[in-house]
Amino acid sequence: MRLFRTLEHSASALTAERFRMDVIANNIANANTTRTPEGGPFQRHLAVFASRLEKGQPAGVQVLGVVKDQTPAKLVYNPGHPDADANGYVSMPNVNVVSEMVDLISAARAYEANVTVINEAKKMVQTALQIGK
Amino acid sequence: MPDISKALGLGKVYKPVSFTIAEADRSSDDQTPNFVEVFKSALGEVNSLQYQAKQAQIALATGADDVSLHQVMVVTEQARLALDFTMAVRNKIMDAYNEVMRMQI
Repeated sequence: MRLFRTLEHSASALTAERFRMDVIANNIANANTTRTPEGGPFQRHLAVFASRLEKGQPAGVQVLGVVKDQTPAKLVYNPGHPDADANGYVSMPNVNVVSEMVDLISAARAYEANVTVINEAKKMVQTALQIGK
Repeated sequence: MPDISKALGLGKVYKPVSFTIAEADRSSDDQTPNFVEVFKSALGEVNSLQYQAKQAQIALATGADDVSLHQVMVVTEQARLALDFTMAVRNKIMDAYNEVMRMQI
């Protein structure tokens, strides 16, 4: 129904922000992971969003996928670590927990903003139903 | 302010609807769907929204992977608004009916 287009657009954004939150949670969870199935330390993940078109009309946002941050791993001197190299340096993940926290808050606020849009759209429909009462 | 309304395209969008009684009468014999059909299909749409909402709630409660909480909330709200709209239409119809029934002949 055309009436619900706004709701559907905002719902797609909610799904996208939810996904971004998942990715950030995974980044923070793996902030100290030195081993991955591909070998080497964990690499920070980033969610990629793209605008969605439906019959040539804008229709919200979609998650294109996840890409890896190609910033080189941090080298930390820790000779006692099981993954330390010959010189005693350990490759730590390129995750900066502080910037992940900022991204986390940004995702949470974006989610909130979309919920506000949904509520306002709903109020608009309800106001329209008041016409003539 | 003719310039502003022109810039906004108001004249284009809100064309006055020319509708005469003769045109309205024709709806019974040509292909235009009659009121009952329109109302039935609208009710069907509202019903399917209610059904979707219920299915989404069940899927969330039983732990389906592809359903998230906000989707359930949005679908439920859609169903509620559709029902509100149906009730508004129904109340208008009942008002009109009562008005006709009260008419003195």
